[in-house]
Amino acid sequence: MAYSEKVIDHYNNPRNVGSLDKNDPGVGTGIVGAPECGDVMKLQIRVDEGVIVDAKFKTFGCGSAIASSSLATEWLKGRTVNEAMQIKNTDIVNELHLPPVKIHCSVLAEDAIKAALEDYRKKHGEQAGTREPAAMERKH
Amino acid sequence: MGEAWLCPACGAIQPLPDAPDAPGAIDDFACLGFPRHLQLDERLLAERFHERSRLVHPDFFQTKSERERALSLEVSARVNRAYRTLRDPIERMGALIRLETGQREIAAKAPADLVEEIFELQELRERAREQPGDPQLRERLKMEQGALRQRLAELDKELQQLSARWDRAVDGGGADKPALIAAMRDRLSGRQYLINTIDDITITLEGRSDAKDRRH
Repeated sequence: MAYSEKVIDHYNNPRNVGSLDKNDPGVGTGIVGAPECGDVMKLQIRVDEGVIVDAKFKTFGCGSAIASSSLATEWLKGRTVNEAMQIKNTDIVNELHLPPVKIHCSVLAEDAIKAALEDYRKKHGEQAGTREPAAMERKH
Repeated sequence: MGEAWLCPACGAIQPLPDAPDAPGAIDDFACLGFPRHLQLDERLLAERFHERSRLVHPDFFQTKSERERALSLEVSARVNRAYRTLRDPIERMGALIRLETGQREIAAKAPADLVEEIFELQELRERAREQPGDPQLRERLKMEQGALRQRLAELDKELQQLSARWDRAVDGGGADKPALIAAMRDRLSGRQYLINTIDDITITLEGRSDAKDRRH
């Protein structure tokens, strides 16, 4: 199966590989996996004043899973928490031209984003999607 | 059931309603004349398979009409497929889950703590790959792999218990059927994850590099 050029680029030069301190209150961590293929993905965000200022990932899996999470970290930076909630796996599929058999890799990346946002919101005592965190943060 | 494939009046082979959602569709269990049980006697299973294969075998239809010849091929293939699926207890459970849920995907979402654990094991593998000469890392990997194998064995025992409970539920009415199916799905997902990780560790211990996409 041939990978698209964009997948190969992310695979060879993954952006934002690494990790953030998961105990830091400003950091949200999402670890998700796909039992069928055994892939695991960790995605972390650092939030400052409701805006994602940094994102890191580490993925053990195929090229498409690595590319999907690499792309996700690129997209996350600079977005507000609520904007980040809007990222859909189909956006990743379109950007990377993933074939049907690789769509589950993009689903995994979306799950990782959601899990990281959820973790961040939990640390701040909110339910996902119920409050506008940007406004919340600024009141502090 | 097997007799229903042949016309009682003239002995001509009859078509099989095979589409999974067709009314009266024949599932793998019905195809070999079993209720949707998970604990099947292997000998009886093989016996039924041979019996039914003989009944519809294309060799016996060579002198029959073109329609009957085609049907005997079709029905034989169906019987073979049913046997292949039912013969393996895990495949059998997968078939049951598909039938009961109407969904193609068997895997449920992996439990969060298991995913985290596997992530840590993958990091350990990475370290072992980067320092192939480190005996301590090798030992730890072996130990972790042993622990995973132990868990796999326990999981298989649990699956056997679930199978027995399922069969009782089928015989005595479907009181807690959906809960049992959900439990089986959950265990099967965890099982697949354990197997994949055990294999991954073997690859590292043998000093091979990961074949990308081997599972896709």
